[in-house]
Amino acid sequence: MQLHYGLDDLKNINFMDFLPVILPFIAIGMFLVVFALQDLYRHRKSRENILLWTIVILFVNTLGAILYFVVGRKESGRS
Amino acid sequence: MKLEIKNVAKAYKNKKVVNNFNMEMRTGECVGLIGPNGAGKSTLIKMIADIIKPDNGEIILNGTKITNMKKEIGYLPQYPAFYNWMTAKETLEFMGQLSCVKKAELTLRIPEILRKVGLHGAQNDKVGTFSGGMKQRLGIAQALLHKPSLVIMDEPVSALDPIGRREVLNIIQDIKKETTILFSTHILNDAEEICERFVVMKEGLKLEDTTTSQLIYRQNEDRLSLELATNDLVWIDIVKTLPYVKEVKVMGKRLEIMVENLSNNKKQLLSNAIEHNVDIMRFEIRRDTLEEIFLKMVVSE
Amino acid sequence: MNAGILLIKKEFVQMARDLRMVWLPIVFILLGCTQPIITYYLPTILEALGGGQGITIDSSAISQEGGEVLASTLGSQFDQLGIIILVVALMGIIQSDKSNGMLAFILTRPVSISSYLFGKVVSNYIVVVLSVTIGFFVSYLYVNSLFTMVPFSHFLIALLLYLLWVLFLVAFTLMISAIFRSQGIIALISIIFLTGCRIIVNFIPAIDVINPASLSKHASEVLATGTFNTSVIIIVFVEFIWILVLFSITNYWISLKKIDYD
Repeated sequence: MQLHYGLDDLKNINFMDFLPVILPFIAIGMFLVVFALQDLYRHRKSRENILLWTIVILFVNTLGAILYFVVGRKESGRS
Repeated sequence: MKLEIKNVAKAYKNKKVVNNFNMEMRTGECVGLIGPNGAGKSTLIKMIADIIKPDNGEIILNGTKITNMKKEIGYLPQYPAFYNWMTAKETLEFMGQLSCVKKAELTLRIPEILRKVGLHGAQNDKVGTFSGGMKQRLGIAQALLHKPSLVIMDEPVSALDPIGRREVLNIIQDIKKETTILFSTHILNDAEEICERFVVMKEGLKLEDTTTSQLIYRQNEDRLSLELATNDLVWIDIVKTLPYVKEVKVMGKRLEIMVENLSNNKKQLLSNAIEHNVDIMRFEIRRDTLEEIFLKMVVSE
Repeated sequence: MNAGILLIKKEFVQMARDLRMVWLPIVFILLGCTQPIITYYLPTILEALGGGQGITIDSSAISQEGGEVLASTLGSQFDQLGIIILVVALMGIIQSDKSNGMLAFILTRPVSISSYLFGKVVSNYIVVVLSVTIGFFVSYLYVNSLFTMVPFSHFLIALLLYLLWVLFLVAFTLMISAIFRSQGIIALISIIFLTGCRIIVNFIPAIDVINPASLSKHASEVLATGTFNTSVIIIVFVEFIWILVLFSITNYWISLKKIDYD
């Protein structure tokens, strides 16, 4: 069984039934995004492409935040 | 301390970068390794630092192969690498412990050495924020930290701006009193300022191993330089006919005279000038500057 | 080995400062959650999506045992996105030190290549092990609450087998990172090779013994069927040999002193 559905699809249906099960999942996902954004904001002076990263982190679910941590945290102005 | 470099050779893709290089160094010396870009200085330094393996020959420190003597060597790369996320103090702690210095000793040594290189105020700043000169000074601090018996530096000042260069030269001048230093540079003035002994390299070969004073005397030709108050053409013609004068170059009021034997002929020439009542402003033995000697050596061959 | 411990400490500080210690476990927790949640709600989702279009779904056909779901956490999540994320997290493990000259610099100190590698592998592997374990454990909790119970012993055996395959992954990425210069190439080669191994497991079971990825399949089997095939012991043994070979190649490659950048 390898069918992949985004969270958007889930939200349309019987949302309340899902809530207790999905809540931790969403919470951790949100935490990662907020964590990435907070780090980006804190180091806003030494980062490049702040706007781009904000969009990536917010809209490329989870992977955007990972991408930011791996690639985006290299400070600008270094050799 | 005794460093021996025996018949060391290194080739990259059949191009000989260092070619049967021999050299010796002893405690307290400060040797400048000079040569044009691409002479193989950096490769030689890296072989001494044990970053590159020589194809041939060996490098021996105090009778032991260099690979087993890393503790005794302080190395400053051309572009010292640091972890940008570490502070200056953390960097020294890290490098010091890698060099097997005890923690207790490091807590004493680090503030002392940071003061020496003038980074005391920046000890808790991230290395990533440092300027080139500051990194170079931190590099020197790192090279001295474990009290090595030999400090080798690869182009310590070449990449720096004039201010950074001055700072680093002053520090080297200062540490020279305590350690043995071998450093490479392509800027002759730097070598001349810091050290007494030079090794000149070109295309992987050792051209010269000499001291400043030797170099000047040996390269000296029998040449006199004169400056006259007036352009006394009559006397110049007389000079040209003198038996011991080989050649006269006239540049306005200045004369350059080649003679057969400097020590005998300079007196004769001077008395000849006085006889003819020549108004002399300056009368001196003409010497090549180190730069001229260096250029001759490197270009002629 | 003193230097090795110092290097481990340094790696931990570095990983804490670049926040890898935080995001890697989180990502694996998310991966661990995904499979149970999706499987659990799949019938409902399909119903909701397909209901209007006349597709009928026998929901009993889709319902699964807890062990199977946990097995597909390994097979479908960890072995796909998980591999990619681990490789991306590890691709710079030696390459970054090499490209900024730090490796050459560290090796001018009285530090052996093996203690340098020891420091790198141990520290990074510990963080990876923690991440995978936490993620897998969260998946285990989800499965136990949404599906049938899976015995803890099965969970543990599967985890250990899987962690050995992860060690191979770390060792392989380490080697590639020591050999190549560009992070992109390192990631590409590692991901293609490792996922390739994993795919081959499904198609050519004959070479399971020498396929390093087959441990992942056996971990899944322990969960799905509850049986532990004794032939796995040989595979574990072969896996260790693979890992040792990879370490030796890495060590040898660095000892060739191809670390000089000019």
